[in-house]
Amino acid sequence: MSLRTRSTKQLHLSKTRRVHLGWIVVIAAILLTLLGVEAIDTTRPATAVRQVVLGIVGMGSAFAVAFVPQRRLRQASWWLYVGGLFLLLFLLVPGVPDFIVHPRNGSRRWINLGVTDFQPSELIKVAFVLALASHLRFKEHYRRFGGLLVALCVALPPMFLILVEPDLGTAMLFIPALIAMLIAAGAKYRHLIAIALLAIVAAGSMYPMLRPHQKDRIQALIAQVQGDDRFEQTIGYQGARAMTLIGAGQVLGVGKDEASELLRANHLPEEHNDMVFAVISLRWGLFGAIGTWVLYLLLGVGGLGASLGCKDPFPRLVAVGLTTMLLSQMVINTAMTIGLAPITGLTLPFISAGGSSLVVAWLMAGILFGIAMRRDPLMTREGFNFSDEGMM
Amino acid sequence: MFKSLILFHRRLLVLIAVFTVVLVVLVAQVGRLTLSQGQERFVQAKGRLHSTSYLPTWRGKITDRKGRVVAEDVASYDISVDWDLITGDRSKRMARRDAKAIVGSDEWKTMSPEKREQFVASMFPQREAERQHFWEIVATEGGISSEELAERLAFIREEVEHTATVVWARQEEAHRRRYGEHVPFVSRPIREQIEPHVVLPRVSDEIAMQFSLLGDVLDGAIHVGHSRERAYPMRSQAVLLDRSTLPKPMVQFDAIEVSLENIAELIVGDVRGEVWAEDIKRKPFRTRNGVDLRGYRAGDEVGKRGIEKSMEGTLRGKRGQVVKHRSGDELERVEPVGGEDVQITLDMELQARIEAVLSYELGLMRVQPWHGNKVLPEGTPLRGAVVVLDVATSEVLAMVSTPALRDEQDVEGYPWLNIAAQGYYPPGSIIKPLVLVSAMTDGKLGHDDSIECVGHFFKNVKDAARCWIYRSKYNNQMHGKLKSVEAIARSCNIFFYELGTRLGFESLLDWLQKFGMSKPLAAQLTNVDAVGSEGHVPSKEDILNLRKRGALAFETVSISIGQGALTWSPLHAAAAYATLARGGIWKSPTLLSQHGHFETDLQLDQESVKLALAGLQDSVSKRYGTGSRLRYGPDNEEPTFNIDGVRLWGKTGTAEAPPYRLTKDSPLIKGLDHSWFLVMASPAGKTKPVVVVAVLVEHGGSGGRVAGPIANQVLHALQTKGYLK
Repeated sequence: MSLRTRSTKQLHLSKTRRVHLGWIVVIAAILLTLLGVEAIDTTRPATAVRQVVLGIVGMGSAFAVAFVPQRRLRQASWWLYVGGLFLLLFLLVPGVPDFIVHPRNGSRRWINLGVTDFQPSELIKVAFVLALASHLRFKEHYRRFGGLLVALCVALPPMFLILVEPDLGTAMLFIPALIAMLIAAGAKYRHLIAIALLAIVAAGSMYPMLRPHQKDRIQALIAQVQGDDRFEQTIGYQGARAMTLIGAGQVLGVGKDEASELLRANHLPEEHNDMVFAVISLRWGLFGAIGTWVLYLLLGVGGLGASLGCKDPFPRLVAVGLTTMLLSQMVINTAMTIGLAPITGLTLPFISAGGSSLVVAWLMAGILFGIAMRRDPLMTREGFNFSDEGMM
Repeated sequence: MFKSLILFHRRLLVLIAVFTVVLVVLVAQVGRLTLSQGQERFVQAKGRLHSTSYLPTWRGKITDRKGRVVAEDVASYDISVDWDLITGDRSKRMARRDAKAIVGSDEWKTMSPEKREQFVASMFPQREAERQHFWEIVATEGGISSEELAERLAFIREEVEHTATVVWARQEEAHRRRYGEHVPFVSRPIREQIEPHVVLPRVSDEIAMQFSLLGDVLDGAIHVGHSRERAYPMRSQAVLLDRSTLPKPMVQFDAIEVSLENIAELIVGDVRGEVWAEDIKRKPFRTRNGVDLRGYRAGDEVGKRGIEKSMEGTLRGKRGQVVKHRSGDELERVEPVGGEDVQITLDMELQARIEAVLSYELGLMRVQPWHGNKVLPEGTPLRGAVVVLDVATSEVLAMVSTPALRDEQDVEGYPWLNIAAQGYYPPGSIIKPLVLVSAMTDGKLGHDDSIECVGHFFKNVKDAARCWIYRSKYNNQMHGKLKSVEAIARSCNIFFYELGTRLGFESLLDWLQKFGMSKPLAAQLTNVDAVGSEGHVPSKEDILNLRKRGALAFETVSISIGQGALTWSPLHAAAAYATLARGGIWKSPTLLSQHGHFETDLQLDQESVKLALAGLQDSVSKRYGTGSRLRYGPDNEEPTFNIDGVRLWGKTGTAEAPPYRLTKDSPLIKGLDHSWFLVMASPAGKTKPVVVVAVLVEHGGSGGRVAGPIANQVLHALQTKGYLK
């Protein structure tokens, strides 16, 4: 078929591929979900069944979102972003009854939907990536310092609203995603470094404003790194227990029954949820932990690889943003479980029990799959191909 | 090589590189946890599969020299009940349960709250009646009135509720500091509101059994718990004392019954139910390497005072340990080991009898008109002590201090003290026989030598270093030429001033220390190896100072009659006399049977010992002996000792005492002396003493008058208990 025979409409239509890196994303995600189900089954068989159902729901929504045209996603991105912000604000409105916004451990993160709880912060993670990608598409201003600050302004409102929930962990995720997208988009390193320095100073000055329980966790982490076991029964309890169980898995892990017994006896809080990585390490040992990371590495390769197949800056940035979002969440979660980061309530994507977390992870995988699947329409301008001049 | 790639692709490589570096760090940490610490952490995680509980142990018994039980752990039962049975909340809870059971749980869910409350209210009276009935049973079985029980319960409630208010206030403050105002504080029940409370302590087996049956009816709201208490079965006794052998002015021909509540309590001691930080520090239950089953933890009994304290290590048992798997299977069991028994050398019946002799009821420990006490009003209670030693073994047969623990006389500012062993006094004249044998053993005086008493020792000084009879009230008498036996019997000061001067200050001190002065005898009663010093002797520096001031000569004569800077306890005095009675074999006194002795031979000149003992015998038997007579007035006198069938050796001592206060705030009283009487006795047929009795009365005045009659009564007690047959 020659170029001349195509209609204008056809010029803007993308075609799909059969073999593409998106399959790696999906296969990694399926394996991670199954790993999660098995890990949860070790301690809470009933939750594991629920997880299977939610996994299927997640895969369904992933399938659906994969076939949403990118143009539509782009158009919807700002609506989703603004809608997400409203939901976040709704959580903070005083006077909303507890059965709608259900506070847990003093934080207001969940909206009760009857069947399950819904976390608006999970949604806004996706909406943020889409909105930032559509903002940065075919722009160059972020290569100047001032323009970079505009991009920063997209990230700040959701971060702030999530911080006051409070949910430090989720709020932190926006930083690597933002930086990765800016790097990919070709922002200048010296600007990024300047912003990073600013961020460190800002974070330092924010420390006094942290909630006492957040300070406790940082203090507990420092103590634990220094080999000080004073806090093991109090503020460092969860971290100490998690590390004990991870170490107990040794190289090959213990059997399912023994793992289940040890988990019960060691009273690890949130073992099916935020701390699920400890269960993996206990059951399958060092090999299990490395295997899990390899799956995430595959997911990352697939996700970033998806961006290689397209020229349009929107899908490229979305792929980078979502992949970074997933991997950063994994890094922060595993780092806190193995005692390298302060403990924050952050799930391990695909693996941790929990509705919003699993479904949204699959949604991200679906979007990545959709990006990898599509060939660029013929009329596509390649994004972010700046010359190297003045990169620093 | 990356130059050929477009910028975007190069940037992707940067991101992948960053991610890889992060992954390497994560893998390294998990590697560290699983490889180098894996084994240790596995053991730690495994350890939490088990639960360990500890089995109570018991303290060893304390028995006296005749094998009678002085202290033992007695098993008993405590009846305790759940907190909500006390408050009445239980009735409401049970009524709700009953209502729910009758209605059925499905229908219950559909009911309106008002309807539910109606149902509950209808079931309530029955449950409340059940509760009231239970309290009636408690009152009847426990042998208390229902008012008393109500009071007891109210007290428990008040105390728990008070504690809860305090705890909640503290928690709320901490909560506010941590979370600020916006997270509301919810108070949870404190431990005392969950745990059962004892309502009937220490009940018998039968009552305990009854209540444990009742517990099944009341759904486990009643708990019957083992408890253990330390019992001292010989601590209170009534002693019948014959008053016909008392000094004439006190004689009565009916016996007096003296009830004693705390016999030997200062010596045997007590236990306390609370463990102090010091105990845990000394021997903690939880140690770096796990637990020490002998270590201390809250709720343990700890020896307080006396044998209970000093023999804590022996008496204390080793608790048992049961390790259970979470499933309930027993994995390991270490049976508890009780503490070892301790036999002490006291004869508790003799002890009781002597405590009765020293009791204020009898009157020998109060100022009597014939004491000749010019300062203290008649009837004033006196402090004092008696030690009785077995000569052959140096075992303490009785050791009594008055006032005894809990006697009211000493509440004003004086610490309770086992003054028999831990009160230090100048020895006075009781030291004289020791000075004699020291001087003769050192060859400073021949066996037949005599020394002349002219009333005062220094040639031209007539008002110092005098003999006790060289006073205006005795018309400035003097003893003239005396040989050693008579010098002791008459207690001539000049004779011993001369001996002391011949020996020299340092040599004299050496000898006194050989006889036990300043040795840590109180500590050695339960620990042969104890070191330190008890009582006072002049130090090398003191001697140097005295010499510089030119006061050494005077100090030498002072200490040779037991005055000056010397103090010892009645126990020291008894130990020294026992050594003399053994012909110079020193044995440290002990309170423990089958206990090693610290023994040395002082290598005394045996002839001098014979002379000293002869002097002691004359002192209590010859008319001129200072310890032989109680003189009430011209031609009104009687023998100090009125006991038959025994042979006696004795010496009085009247030692200048420091000023004295009756109570903490009262004015100082000067011019009083401490009264000593040392007496040794044997059955009439024997030639050597078998027991030593040391009597001291603080600020009592004349040794012969005040301490003498007490010594006499102690001998009667010894004879009654079969020690002088």
